[in-house]
Amino acid sequence: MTSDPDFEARVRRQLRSELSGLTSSVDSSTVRERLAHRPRRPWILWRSSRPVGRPQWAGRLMVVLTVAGVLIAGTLTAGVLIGLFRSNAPTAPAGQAGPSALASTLPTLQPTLLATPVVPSSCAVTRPDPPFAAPSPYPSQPPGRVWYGSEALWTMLMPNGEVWSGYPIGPGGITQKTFWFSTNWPGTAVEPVPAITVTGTRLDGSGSFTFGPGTNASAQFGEAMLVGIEVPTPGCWQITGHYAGSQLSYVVWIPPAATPATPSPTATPAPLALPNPGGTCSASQIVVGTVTSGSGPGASPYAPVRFVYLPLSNVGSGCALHLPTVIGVASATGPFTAVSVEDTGTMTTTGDIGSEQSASIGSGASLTIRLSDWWFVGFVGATPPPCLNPVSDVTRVAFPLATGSLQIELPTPGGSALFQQVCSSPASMTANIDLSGG
Amino acid sequence: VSAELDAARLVDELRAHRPEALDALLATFGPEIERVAYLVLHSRPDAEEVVIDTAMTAWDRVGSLRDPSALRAWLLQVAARHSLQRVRRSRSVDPFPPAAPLRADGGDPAALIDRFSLVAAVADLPPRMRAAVALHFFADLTVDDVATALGRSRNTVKTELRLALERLRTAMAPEAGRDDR
Repeated sequence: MTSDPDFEARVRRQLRSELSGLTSSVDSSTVRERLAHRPRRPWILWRSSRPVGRPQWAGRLMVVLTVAGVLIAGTLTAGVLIGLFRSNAPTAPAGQAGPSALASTLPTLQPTLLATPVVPSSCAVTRPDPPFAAPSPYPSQPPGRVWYGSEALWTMLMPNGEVWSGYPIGPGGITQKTFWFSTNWPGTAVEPVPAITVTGTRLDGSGSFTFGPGTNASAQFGEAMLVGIEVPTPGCWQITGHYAGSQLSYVVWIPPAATPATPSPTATPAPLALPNPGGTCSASQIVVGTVTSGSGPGASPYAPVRFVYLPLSNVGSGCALHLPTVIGVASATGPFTAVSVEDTGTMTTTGDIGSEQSASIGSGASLTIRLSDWWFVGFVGATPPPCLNPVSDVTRVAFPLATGSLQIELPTPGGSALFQQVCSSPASMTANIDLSGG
Repeated sequence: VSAELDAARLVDELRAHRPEALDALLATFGPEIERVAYLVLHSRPDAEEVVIDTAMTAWDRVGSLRDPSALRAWLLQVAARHSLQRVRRSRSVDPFPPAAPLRADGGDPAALIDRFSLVAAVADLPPRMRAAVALHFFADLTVDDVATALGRSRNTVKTELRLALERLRTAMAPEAGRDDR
């Protein structure tokens, strides 16, 4: 992967040259007139409006499904309103839109939603009483639900308490979409990926999760921040939204009808020979600090980028660290598999800080390696090639140095692996050195 | 410094909802917003709609802009989002290449034989890649600013820019023997 500053400069010059004749004829009177007569949003049901290209088939599918949804809705009783904001499809984790957000435009037909599950007395599900009255332009109460919270952060709940039953099971547990509102959120046009996080804490057992940032959604009465979550286990959970210094919690009951599949036993880990990446650092002189993780929107609406930061400290003499082109990945108990690592840090462009592929690390110094998943990235607008030799639920990484390998345990937010599928081919991981973090 | 002062003054006037602020905004940033939108949409009417949408967003939301000196980047980010929303809402774009004013051919014989249009080559890229090219290579926004505009990670944007350059290089291959202009 190489950069070509001359070619970039030529592109910049030629674009400016070709567009130099394009002037704007828009005048302020037009804008003022639009401001005075702006229409209300025409959408009827929730619709993700993430500002990225959705595949054309998805747009057509949305039309078909929306029409079908309208027809179905007309034949159902008022009880179906309970499911108006539910999805039959797997719900996207935070930062994702795509099919799951699309599916949320449809009323679900799952009969479990029409039943009334029994909530144990030990689980005090939140019943908004009195409901919060949302500010304009939102209606005083949403259809079939009630507002809960304050102007700083509010959500919508079932009047008799949230019971999440019959929802799809994702890799990380029971999937759900959560909608949040705030007068501090400037809206989709300004903050399309709201910096909101949603955490969960199990109240009748152990377990927790964190998802974020969010994406956006719109209804006829306004916009919302949308965060897809995966609840690891059924039970009594406290769900908390965090946005712009405010937080809001509510309690939900998830009946134990659907339990996520437990990982099957796997073989004993096998040693894996990895190519020497070069440099002079040995594994014995490098200490791995606390590994942290995160996620963000990716190139595909179906696959957010997930990443880990690996802080390394040099307890030996100064050495040169070169990033490997092959690392080992493994699930919690499975064997290591070699996968290629593709670098994205070498492109040098104007104003781009860039990341490095090698660095000197002095005695006692430290630096951070950023490792990301890569799958789907680079295949925007095209069908990605098949994932060969996939490794599921990667929670361990073998990171080769000049001598030996660092064996690194990765965090498992919400109890599930951060990298849920890593492909040995094509390259599905990236790594670069974040010198600013050193 | 003068530009920063002007931007700060304009932000203040927009926040105060002074009508003349819209004139200043359109005069200062309108052409660039329209060019960025045009690179994404390839339609003059749609690009003009994006200018209007962007001005309306500025009118409503400029209060969320913490650093007035970032007004230009913020406006172009908003314009890119409006452009992509417009792409998604209406998949029908005007035939390309557009009318002559985009080419500065004039009467230069050397230019007349140059029928290659980089803008037309950009039109063959996927919408979000077009937006990344417009913001980074045309408007000189940083990769981080582009990532913010597109709601994508920095690395993803870098990847898209790299792929875009590769595609543009392929498209420009027949031009390789010519001098840069």
